[in-house]
Amino acid sequence: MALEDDDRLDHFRARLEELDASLHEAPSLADARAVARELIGTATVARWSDDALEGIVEREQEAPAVDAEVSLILADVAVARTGAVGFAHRAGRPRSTGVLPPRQIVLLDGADLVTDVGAALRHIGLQAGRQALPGNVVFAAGPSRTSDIEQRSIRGVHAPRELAVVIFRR
Amino acid sequence: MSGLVIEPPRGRPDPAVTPNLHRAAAHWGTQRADARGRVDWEAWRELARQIRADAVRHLPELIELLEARVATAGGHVHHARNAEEACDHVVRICREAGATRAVKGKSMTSEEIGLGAALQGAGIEAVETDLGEYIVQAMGDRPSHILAPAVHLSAGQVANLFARESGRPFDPDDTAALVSHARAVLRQRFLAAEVGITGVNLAVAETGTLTIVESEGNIRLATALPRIHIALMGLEKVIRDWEGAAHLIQMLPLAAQGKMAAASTSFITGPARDGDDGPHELHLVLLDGGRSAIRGTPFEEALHCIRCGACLYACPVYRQVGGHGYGTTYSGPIGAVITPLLAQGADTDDLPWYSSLCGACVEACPVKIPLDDQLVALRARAHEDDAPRGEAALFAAWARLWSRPSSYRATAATAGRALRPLWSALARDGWQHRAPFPFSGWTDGRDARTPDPEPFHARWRSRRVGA
Ligand code: SF4
Repeated sequence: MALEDDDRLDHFRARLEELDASLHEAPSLADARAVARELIGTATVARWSDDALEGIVEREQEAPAVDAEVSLILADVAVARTGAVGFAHRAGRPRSTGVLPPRQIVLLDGADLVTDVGAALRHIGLQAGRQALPGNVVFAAGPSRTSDIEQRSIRGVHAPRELAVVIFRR
Repeated sequence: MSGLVIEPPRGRPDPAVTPNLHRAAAHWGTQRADARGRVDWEAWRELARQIRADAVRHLPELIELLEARVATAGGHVHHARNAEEACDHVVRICREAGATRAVKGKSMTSEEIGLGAALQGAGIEAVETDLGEYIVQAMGDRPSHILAPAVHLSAGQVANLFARESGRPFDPDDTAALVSHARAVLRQRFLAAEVGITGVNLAVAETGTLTIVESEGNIRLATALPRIHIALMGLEKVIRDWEGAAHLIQMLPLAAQGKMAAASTSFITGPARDGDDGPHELHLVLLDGGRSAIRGTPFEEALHCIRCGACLYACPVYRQVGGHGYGTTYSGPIGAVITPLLAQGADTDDLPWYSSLCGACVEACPVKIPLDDQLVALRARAHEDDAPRGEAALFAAWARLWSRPSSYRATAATAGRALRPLWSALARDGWQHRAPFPFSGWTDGRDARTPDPEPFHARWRSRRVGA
């Protein structure tokens, strides 16, 4: 059953908390940019070239993905019931930028928050009957983690160890 | 010969391993129970079962569809009838690209076909990048669980390994430091790799999409940085459509770790396109390896398995002997079922006896495979196939002899007296490791307890006299 808008946000917030990721709510894109800027501080950043991500970091702050401390990306979808954010990689949105830096800030348009995984897959275009599917999509639920050493849960292995989602209303 | 059967099993409960396993089983047991409370677990299992049953029933047509769709998306599909052909494909793809450095994601299928040895033999360096696999590879050891390859090792052992590797000391209690050491070492390997080799959790036939779930992010790196991606999958991992995919990508982490979602789920449709980073070549190696032959037999449901690992921790035998005790790539209840079915010709007929038939595995299984029934049927099959003619008569005579107290006492006491010098000569810390023929049939593969010098009957008699 699809959730109402407010319920969706409540679910999403609760899931992210369990996943050890943070959620920041902003009334507009401009506010979301300001929140992102604050979260970044003086850290070096690698970012995708989406319009929504313009004007957040200074040119001198930008760094190649291998060296950057923070990655700044834009989600295409998010799943209220699981806390996952989903994004398609393509020209201007490289996979390496999304995975190499240890901290990640994800901007998310509130209109892209859906109830469940099935709806999210359709929202991002993973379904039959389309001309061309997005070639590479990742759903990320919280920071990367491992329990391989005595089941001790550790955040951050090869993908980001810190994940902040900034959700905004257009 | 494939990598399905690795070595004679080490069936003795290893005092160092058992606590690690019990801790893991308890940990994941609680995690799973918590998460299952959030969904309608029984309805979810039934739906998952139906999706897998549909896929396996229509396997040939779905594989054909998958193959066509992967090709349309720009990928290459390679069929392998057996382990050898699968390894040959991977080696050939690397050679044709002039590649000698590969990074590997965790894949039981690659263990099954013995890919590590094949690559090494061909001069291709393949580094395991899942933390547990990396540890196990660096130790020269073998994975002991489908999902947690290093579950049999302690933090202390890992700290020692990393200290040897890096020449500086590690505190076993500082898990974060251990993880960041591995991260730093592996980061260099990722950046240098020309090929990324991964498994596949499920392949969506209708669009040719490969789906891979993970916790650590190594799959994302292995499918982002190298210029070639080789995905290796058993035929049965195909499913029909996205509706099925939506359910199973939630069911898998729920059954495996008690999590509502995997930390990362990758959906890969074809190689990278213009202007996109990522591998510009995608190869899918489809392994049959005896799977097709299981379809249409009473064991078909074993192919429904999604390799979540839940039945392993649920199994009291697995918790005692650990994954290595089975001597096979796939351990635990599903290993005891699937190995004799896949390893045609190899001697694995005793695996179905590695079970108490308590049924805990069936309850844990997210796709409701009747593992207990299958174990019983496999026992019957093993018996039909090769019970030596004289064996039944021998057992019947033995049963008659030991049905009467007088003849039991006489023969047991004589046998005990005759063998005692032998046992004591060979014993080490209470165990028999290598007994002479015919007892070697047992001790080649596992250890036996040294019989008590004073048999139970004698002790019982003396107690009664004293009382
Ligand atoms: S048999 Fe069932 S419980 Fe065991 S690994 Fe396969 S899917 Fe999981």
